[in-house]
Amino acid sequence: MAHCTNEDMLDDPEPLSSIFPYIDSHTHIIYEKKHKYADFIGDRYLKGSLIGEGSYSKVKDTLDAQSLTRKAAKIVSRKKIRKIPNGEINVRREVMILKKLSHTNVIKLFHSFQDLIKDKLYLILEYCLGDLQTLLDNSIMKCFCLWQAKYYFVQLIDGLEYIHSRGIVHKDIKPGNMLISADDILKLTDFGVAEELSPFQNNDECKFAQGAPAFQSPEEVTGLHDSWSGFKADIWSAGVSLYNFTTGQYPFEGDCLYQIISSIQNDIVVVPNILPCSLIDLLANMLQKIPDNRLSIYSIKSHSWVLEIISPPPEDQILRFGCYNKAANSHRGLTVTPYLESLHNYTDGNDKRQDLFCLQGYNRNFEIENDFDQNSHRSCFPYVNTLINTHSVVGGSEQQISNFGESADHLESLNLDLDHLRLANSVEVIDNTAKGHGVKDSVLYQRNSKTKHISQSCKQQ
Amino acid sequence: MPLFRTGARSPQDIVRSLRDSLSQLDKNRDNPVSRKKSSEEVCKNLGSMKAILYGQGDQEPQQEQITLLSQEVYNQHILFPLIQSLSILEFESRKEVALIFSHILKRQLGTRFPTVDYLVAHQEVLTLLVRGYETPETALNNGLMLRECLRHELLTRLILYSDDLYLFFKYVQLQVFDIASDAFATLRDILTRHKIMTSEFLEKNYDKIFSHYQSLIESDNYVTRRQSLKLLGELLLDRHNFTVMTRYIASGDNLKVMMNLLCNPSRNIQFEAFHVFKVFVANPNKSHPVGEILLKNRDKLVEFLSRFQTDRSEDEQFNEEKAYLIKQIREMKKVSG
Repeated sequence: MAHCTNEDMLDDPEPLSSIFPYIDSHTHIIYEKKHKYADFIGDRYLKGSLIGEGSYSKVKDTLDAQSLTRKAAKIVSRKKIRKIPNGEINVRREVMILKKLSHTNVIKLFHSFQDLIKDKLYLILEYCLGDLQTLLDNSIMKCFCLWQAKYYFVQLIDGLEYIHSRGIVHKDIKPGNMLISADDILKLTDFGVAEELSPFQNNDECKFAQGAPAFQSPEEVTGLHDSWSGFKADIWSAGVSLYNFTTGQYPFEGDCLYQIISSIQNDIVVVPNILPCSLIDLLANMLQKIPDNRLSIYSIKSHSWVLEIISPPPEDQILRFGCYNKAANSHRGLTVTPYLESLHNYTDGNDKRQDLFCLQGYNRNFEIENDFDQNSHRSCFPYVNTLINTHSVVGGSEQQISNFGESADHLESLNLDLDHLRLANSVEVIDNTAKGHGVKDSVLYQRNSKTKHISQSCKQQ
Repeated sequence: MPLFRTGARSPQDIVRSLRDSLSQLDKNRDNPVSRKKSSEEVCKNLGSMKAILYGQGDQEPQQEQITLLSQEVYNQHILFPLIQSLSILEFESRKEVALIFSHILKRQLGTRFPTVDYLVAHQEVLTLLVRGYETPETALNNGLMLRECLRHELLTRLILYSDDLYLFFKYVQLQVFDIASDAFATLRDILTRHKIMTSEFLEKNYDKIFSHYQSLIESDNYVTRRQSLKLLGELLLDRHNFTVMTRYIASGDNLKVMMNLLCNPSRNIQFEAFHVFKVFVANPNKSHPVGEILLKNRDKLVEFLSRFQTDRSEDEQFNEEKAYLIKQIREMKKVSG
């Protein structure tokens, strides 16, 4: 617990911790609830806890106070980016590019702010569950089934077609830069190294190679060419990504940078024979060493593997966020709750609302259903773990956990056995999925609907 | 149990019965009593079709039944009469027709779409959908189905290369706001969805299409004017339309139109016009007429742009572009000698 609280202090540069950077161990009482101060970005976005971190930026869960929707705030410390070559230019370029783009498969930038006193830049972006790399890393096979690989690949190609048509070369296409929204839509992100072509330039020549080496095309890594076709280079990276989606491996590997580069230039692509012929053909043609021989977006879109239908596999073979790592806050509960409470001077520890907020975290009904089917004893309360951890991550206290027990007792006293709680819970989650995602709805509405479902199940009984 | 009774009918019977009930309805359209009866009959048949396609209650849809039903839809040519009688159907039935239509359209066998092949062979259905904008009550249902068709390149090509395309330039200026907007959304889909094909079409038919487009930009209808300007900016800045853009911004007449729109009383129209105007000025290889017009109006333009929408101070991009344009225009004399 103490450990968590420490981490929390590091994660949250709240005004309090900047004024009192050192905490005396005497004051470090385990049961004391750490006070959360509501902090708004630009008077509109309420900051929650940390949900991701990059080399020079942090991503925080955020609640838009005007629309009551969930957003993600990318917070860039200008102090840190000054140390990186082109750091500030890259961030600026990313904002300029994102402002021009509007497509389902490209991350949406809602606002950008800067705070001169804290010396920080804020980008308010669409809220997403995580990136494909994380999803792949946490799976057993490290790859998607063909259905899911195609589901994401088609969206990737749509996104690429759009940005290319706007004259943007992404240059850093890889699973780590593909986010998944709550309604399972792929969003291209990280335009930090992207290049915008002049609208009057008749070709798509690029001159600077940036991005992950394993995903770079031969013409980029050789260093022999002064310029190359940017669009074809993105196609190559998309091909490497597709290879990675379907096999769990990289077509070109090596122990050091030099070996990878040499592999990209010289090795012939070997696609495992277990893949269908049409997919092997697609991969081989996307990974042509000579850019002119490589497929264009249009040939990809009309390729037989892209066009043919694959019937979806059983739900348990599809990788989803929240299926793995039960210990962490993998269900992505709303983390702005304690800040909201602090904002409204909420102190009553017996109120049930915290639990109700935490229960909103599930984004897929099957997670719970699976849990119940396979392991009904342990996982009647699959959220217990999450609950404890959500609170320890956000600096909660034992009180909330006992609180939760109380609420369960309370329900039992209403002659609601666990089955009913389960019913109520899954009904609500289905609701969430149906609406795209629960977080889009107002917090208050969710709370009401939750209570409503419980009362409905009472009536059914 | 109605569930079992409707389930027992074969797809062939359902489609035949639907066909009969539609012609009954058409005959009885002036007689309120028998019209109601025929309407109910149509509604029942549509319900059975929907149940086969989407499943009913706990029942999952069965592939064989769907295949049989689609076969019957093609064989008995039910789509045409169904869409034709859309306006005499009940409100709910219209929505069901749209649902059934889009489901059958999505049907796929391997890499083929049998319904798309059917529509290519029977173009009258597409034409009927386009003309649907002339019937206000069902225009929106029609528009929905039409946009589903536009997802398929083959069908978009049919509309693009037919004379039906030019009907849209009339529909988007209709006085009923929601129909005009819906028609505009469809026109936009036609012109932007399948980029390679459209850019080829625009190049080939440049004169015809842009003379029609000009009428939208100069339309009396504010919404049409604003939307078409926005779409024009998008089309020109799409890299697929590079040749079209080069041709458009080489014309002095086009520049004059934009310069006039910059002075339009509506701020939003000014703003959209600015985004087209900037392409003319930023072009490093200006044509002779464009260069001449800009040079002739140089001082006026610089003065105008310095005072142009100065309250947009938060829009960094806009201000940057404006400053760039002012600089470009100011330096024009040096370049031209």
